Amino acid sequence: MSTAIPYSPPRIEEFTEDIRKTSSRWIIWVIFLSVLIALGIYALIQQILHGHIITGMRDNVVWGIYIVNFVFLMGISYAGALLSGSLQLFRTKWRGPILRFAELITFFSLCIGPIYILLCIGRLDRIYFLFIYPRIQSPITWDVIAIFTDLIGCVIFLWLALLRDFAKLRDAENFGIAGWRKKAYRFLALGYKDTPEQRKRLKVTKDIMAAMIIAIAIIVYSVLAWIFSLTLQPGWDSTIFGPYFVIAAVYSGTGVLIILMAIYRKVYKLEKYITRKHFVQVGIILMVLALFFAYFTFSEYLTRWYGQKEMDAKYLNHLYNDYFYLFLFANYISILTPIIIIGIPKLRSIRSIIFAAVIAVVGLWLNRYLIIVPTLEVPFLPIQDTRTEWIKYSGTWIEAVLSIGGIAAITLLFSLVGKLVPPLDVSEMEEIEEKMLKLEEEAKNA
Amino acid sequence: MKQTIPFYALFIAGFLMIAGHNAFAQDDASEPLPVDFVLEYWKNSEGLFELRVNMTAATDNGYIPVTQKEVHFFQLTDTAEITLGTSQTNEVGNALFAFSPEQITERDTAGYFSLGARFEGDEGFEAAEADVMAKEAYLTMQFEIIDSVRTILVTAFYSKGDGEMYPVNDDEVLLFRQGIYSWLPVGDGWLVDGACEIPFPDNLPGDPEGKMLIHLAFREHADFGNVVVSDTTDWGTIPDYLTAEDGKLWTTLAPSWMIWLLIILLSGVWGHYVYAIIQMIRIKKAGDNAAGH
Repeated sequence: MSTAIPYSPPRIEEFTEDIRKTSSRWIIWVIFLSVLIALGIYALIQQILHGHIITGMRDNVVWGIYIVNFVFLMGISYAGALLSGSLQLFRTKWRGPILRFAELITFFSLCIGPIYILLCIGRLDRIYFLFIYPRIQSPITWDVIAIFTDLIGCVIFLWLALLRDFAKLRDAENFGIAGWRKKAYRFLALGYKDTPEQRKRLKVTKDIMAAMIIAIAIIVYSVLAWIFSLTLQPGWDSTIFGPYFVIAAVYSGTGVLIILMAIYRKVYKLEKYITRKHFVQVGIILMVLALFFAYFTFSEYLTRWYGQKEMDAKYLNHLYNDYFYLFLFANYISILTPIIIIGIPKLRSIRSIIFAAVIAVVGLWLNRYLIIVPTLEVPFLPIQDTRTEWIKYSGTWIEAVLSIGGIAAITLLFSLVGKLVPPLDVSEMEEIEEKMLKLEEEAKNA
Repeated sequence: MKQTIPFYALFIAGFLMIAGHNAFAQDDASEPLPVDFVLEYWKNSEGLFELRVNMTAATDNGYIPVTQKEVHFFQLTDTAEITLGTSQTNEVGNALFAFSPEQITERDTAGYFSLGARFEGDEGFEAAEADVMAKEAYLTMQFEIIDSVRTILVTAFYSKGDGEMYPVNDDEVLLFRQGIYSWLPVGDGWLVDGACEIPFPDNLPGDPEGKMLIHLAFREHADFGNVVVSDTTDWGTIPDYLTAEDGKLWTTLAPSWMIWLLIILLSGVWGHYVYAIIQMIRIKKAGDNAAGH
């Protein structure tokens, strides 16, 4: 049986034109994204000037869409780290075209996600208190340390992953780029010349960082889950929140990865490299994660319902009655859709897998919303002097605009990085080809 | 050109429309809401009369306080309504108006006077008013130790407006201590000929000096309304505070196992980062050497 990959890997020269040239379409796109970000900044200024009263947050629901976005984006980041680290470590044959997206989404989500915490804080001028008065016992302190540690790890991991491509871009002939960009590639390439010593060091370091990034992602997202589960709040007080959040994160991140594959395939015309096989492989991961997520979700709600503790019963009653359709979508439709579409081979097409991924991603965002908002609407301890009209949360235009601004920021980062590095991990794909050809040779000679 | 709306887009849009009813939860009322208007008469420890109003309105989501509304307070006589003043409701729907007893111009032969309060209404809320009748009562309390027993000596009189003082008879007077949020009942006495003795409880904790604020009161009395006198005493017990400790979840210094775990985890992770950075520096050096050759 032939082990050859069905395509020739790309050459760096295929992408130098895209990196060097800036089309008017690209400029318009960047301006459009910048306008969305500027609107977000305007909304933030309004929020700072008028206070949080102009958002939907009140005495009961003190964490709204901002924290939902934070948890969601951090989940995608950790999922990207887990996926890229796992694909790297296990030398998955079809990892080549996917690695770049996974590595980039890890870093970009981690850059934008924590900003939502800053938006949620009423007194930004006191943010430094977190650093000068930290309490080691506080899960929030753990999260600050964890996010910072993860950010450094992701920077190192991403740099290592891009190192060889930077070297190729540095050495590319007839590239025709400006002097400062050539200097940038020279710096970023760290003098990499693919000598045996450098290759060995890079391989070992990448493997170590891949393993570290998996461990860090699991620990860091568990810490984020513990911010909720270490409280006594019904809806959050759960022993399985750590692994539940990790599974949900990887599930949503896999969905985002499929969506990114689809977008890149369309925008950069990568049909030759990102094939149906890649969508099916990642889709199968999505399906398996959907099953794990279903198991954790069922376990969580069954345990809560069966005990019939007064506050748990109140919370579940509120969830099922006031949020029935959202609950249906987040915990049934978003789980069953990928399982059915990808589980039945006849239904597996690129388009249907993308559709399943979109449903999964939307469902997971709603899942975070249902974890945070309805829980706060049923407080564990009664809140004094609260108004009944403030109990039910409704996001305002401020939160909507800032959410869109965050998505625009991530999209802008992707667009800008497209002018710096190729959309595929060219060096990795060349290495895979070399190995496959070597294996074929050995198989022939055997 | 064949134009079809993709099934998937319709699916998502359809679902979001169904779920969208949760998107906007806060109601806006279009008709004035009926107001639940509660008026209480108080005589406070300084001897001033207080009229206390609480206004709430019923909505589909429960009761909401009626805030930032003006309430008019007045005395009702047989012939006229005499304005006493106005006050605005606060964030929980309460309005308070305090005034001197001298402002009461008319009492009946039994000593009763009538007081009222009114909210005129607006586009959001209906008008409402209430009135109350009361006689002026005079309470005093004295802290004495009688036969080694700490006792509160109580006198209670009322006036009919004729200059005479009449003893309150066959009535209950209540003793409270000031808590953090409300009054804690700690005793009661039965008035006979305008006097009674209330033994003071031995086991009430006070502040670090044993002090506490005590209230003696008629509460929702049919004739006198709410009357209170307050005083501070140092008859409370001094609390036995916990000795300071460390290494707990709630103390300044965290448990030692937590600190060690954090150090070990972070050392492990950052140690790997340092290794990776060193390798990257060596890759660069190797590149420089190769270039030199």
